[in-house]
Amino acid sequence: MHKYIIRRLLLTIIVIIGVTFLTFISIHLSGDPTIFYISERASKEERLEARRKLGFDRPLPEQYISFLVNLARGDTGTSLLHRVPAFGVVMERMPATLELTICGFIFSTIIAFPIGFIAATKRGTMTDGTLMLAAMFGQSMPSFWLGLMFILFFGVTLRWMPVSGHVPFIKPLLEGNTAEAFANLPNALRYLAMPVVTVSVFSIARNSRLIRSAVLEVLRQDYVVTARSKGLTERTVLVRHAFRNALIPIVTVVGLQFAFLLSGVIVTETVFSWPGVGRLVFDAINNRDLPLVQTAVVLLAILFVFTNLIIDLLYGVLDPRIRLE
Amino acid sequence: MKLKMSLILSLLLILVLGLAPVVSNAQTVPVPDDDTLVVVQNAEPGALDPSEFGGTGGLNFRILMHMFATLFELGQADGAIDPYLAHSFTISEDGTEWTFHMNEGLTCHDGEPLTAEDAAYSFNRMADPELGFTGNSAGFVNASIGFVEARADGELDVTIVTNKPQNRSMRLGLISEVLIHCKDSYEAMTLEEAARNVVGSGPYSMGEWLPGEYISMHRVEDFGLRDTYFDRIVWRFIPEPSTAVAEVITGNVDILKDFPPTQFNAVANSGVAEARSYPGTTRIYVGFQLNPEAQFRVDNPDDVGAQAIMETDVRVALQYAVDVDAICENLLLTTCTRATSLVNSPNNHPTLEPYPYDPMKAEELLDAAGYPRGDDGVRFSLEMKARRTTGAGGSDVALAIAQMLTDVGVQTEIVFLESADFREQLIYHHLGPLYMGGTGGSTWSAQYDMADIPGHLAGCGAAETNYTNWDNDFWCESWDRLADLSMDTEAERELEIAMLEEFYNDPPWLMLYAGPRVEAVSNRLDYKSRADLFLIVYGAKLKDDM
Repeated sequence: MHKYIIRRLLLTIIVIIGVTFLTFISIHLSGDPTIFYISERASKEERLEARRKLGFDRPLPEQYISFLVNLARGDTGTSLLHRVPAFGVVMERMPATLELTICGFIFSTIIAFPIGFIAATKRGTMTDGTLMLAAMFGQSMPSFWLGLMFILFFGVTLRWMPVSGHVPFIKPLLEGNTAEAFANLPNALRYLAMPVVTVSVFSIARNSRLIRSAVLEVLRQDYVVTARSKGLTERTVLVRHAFRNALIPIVTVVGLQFAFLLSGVIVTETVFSWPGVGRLVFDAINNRDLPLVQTAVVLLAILFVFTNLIIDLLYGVLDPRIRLE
Repeated sequence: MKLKMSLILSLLLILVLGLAPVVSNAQTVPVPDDDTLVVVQNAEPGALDPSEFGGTGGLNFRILMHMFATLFELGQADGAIDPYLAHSFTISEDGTEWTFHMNEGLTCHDGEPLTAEDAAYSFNRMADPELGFTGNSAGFVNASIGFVEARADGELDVTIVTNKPQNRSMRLGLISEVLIHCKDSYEAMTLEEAARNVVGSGPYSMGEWLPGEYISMHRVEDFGLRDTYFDRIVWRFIPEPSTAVAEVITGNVDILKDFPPTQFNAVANSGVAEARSYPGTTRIYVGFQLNPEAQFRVDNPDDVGAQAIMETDVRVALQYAVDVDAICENLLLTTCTRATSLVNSPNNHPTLEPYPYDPMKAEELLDAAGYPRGDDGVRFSLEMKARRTTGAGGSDVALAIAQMLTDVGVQTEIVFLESADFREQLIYHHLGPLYMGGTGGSTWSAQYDMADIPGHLAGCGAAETNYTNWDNDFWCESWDRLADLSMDTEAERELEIAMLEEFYNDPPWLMLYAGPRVEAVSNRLDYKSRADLFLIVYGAKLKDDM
């Protein structure tokens, strides 16, 4: 097990090199970043000088290797736009993204499981049809549209919810201001409500369909028939035999869902003016702020790899026949 | 049992959410009140170093100009440049040295006296090559005024030394874009520290900066140069225009400048805020790329359309093909006046009439220029490059213009480019054959607007900001002569007018309009909108009846 974890952690380095390389190349393929840091009226000489100062005049391999060397030293560079260390800028925004992602993950999981399970056990009934129709709608609705509809209905028309903004909870908690964090909690939840539902709808829809098909698959297995023929109650059959065996494919997708949510909340963060990493990276890409994009990519890649690792470890817990080597 | 538990949990959640507004010490998002003015911007500034803001419409400039004062200020009234930290100025005989006489008793936000030494330091700091600033002051003002150095000639007299004489309004306006900061504090800070810590000289001082959320600032009580009315100004950052409009409608925001015109009625009918539409200063046009070495010409030397627009007659003919009134009424939901040149009102040509919409005449002129319709009805084809944006220079407008040109036989296809590609091709004079352009302008100087196309000394057609590569001898020679006429206002204006006429007759632009601005202003406010990109709100106050 330990060897497996160490090997996976070493693989993380390769993943990071891969993603940073691709980010680096794609940003440079889309043109010279210097033009974002000079006036449109700057002369040719001024452009060249700015290019030199920003370090974009060096050969690309040299720039990339220099980035990797600095990364190994824990220095991800200075944000071109913010003019302060890029790592700090990303970490400032991370708590807000984590709030949205964790709440979205929990909410979508809590809702998706019963929907999928009920739909599977009531297969072919009106309940199944209604739930799966709703899931199809949920999967089809673009989150920016849904977010704006929530704003229009709950924010503008009914005035039940704040339209946009954020009240921090995790950040004061991490800073040790527990009292402040919990004083903020009610407001934090109010501001979280609409973004969380928006970000969760797609996940709920996808996961409930997946859970339904995984449970249905298990219900067809011989051991379920055996369990029923032994005279076990339907509840025991479903919970102890079917559900647990259906969990492996579900955990894979639901686990990765967390990582996808983490890196994919750009639209929701933009619509609700949520001060997270997604919005930060979007702005950084638009401004070709290479150090900032690279830093965010490295951090997100690490989180992705760790999520995968946790999922792999969970396999062993869920099914003792699986041994990680 | 489980049902009971679910019910209890649900009730608990509702209770927590319901309690939110009454928890007294909880943090919340700032909303307008008698002491607080809330303004929205669509993005957050990166850094707040006063030497490093982008353009004057830039996000950080709008915020910084409330915390930093300038020697003179581009005023609210059209064309006005008002005294600010300085009460007057004198110009040396050769026009190269400008000495500003500053007011007495000024102080920085760090408590130190604000003197000529601080003003000189501000100019020299932005020009210091070691510091590597590339923003508006260092990259534009500096070059435009021919900055050499600034020196303190006494406690309150600061002299800006330049390498050339220049039109008074233009130079004064440009100098009014340089934010004066305090030497002792900024000398003590690293660049990194200066990016986040503001020690200003203006009517408001830095309050709180919550990254991605808002910046708040507090009124400086003893700042006597301008009247201010709110104790606190909050700049919220809301990237999505529809969300920003929703915040206006729910009364959570006081001022929102530049939102999509399609949402004008939503604001106007809200009963909470007023929707204003007025002519701006951003000049919207379609550029004819005249660079003979532009990449698209090199790649396809036989492209008839790309060659055709090199001819003046063709460019004039196409002016008649575009119905500007229809674009403004139907797409921008307002009325606008078609431009006759690159200069905004009130400094534009006094008598020239805009080209009328007359597609028949466009067709006649194209026939006469030697480009009759072919069997398929097409004279020649062109590509128009555009960005996927909304508003005055947006995608809708580009599509409408392409259709209007196609209607007179010039088959025009829109190619949408990502903003970075667009900007890069623009700067290197490769964008075209047509492109949907927009460039910031002024109300206070004709030459500021004309400076996009400078003279031979700056390269004429090859000059950086001459994005169409327009190489007109008369224009470029005249531009170089303008500097010598800076002391003779009448002769200078006469030459400006002749140049604008040349622009009209040999147009490098398909002339459109000064892009209209749409602004939402809370009903509780007495606040004057301004045409340019600036957003100066310290003069906003509650209406008398509020």
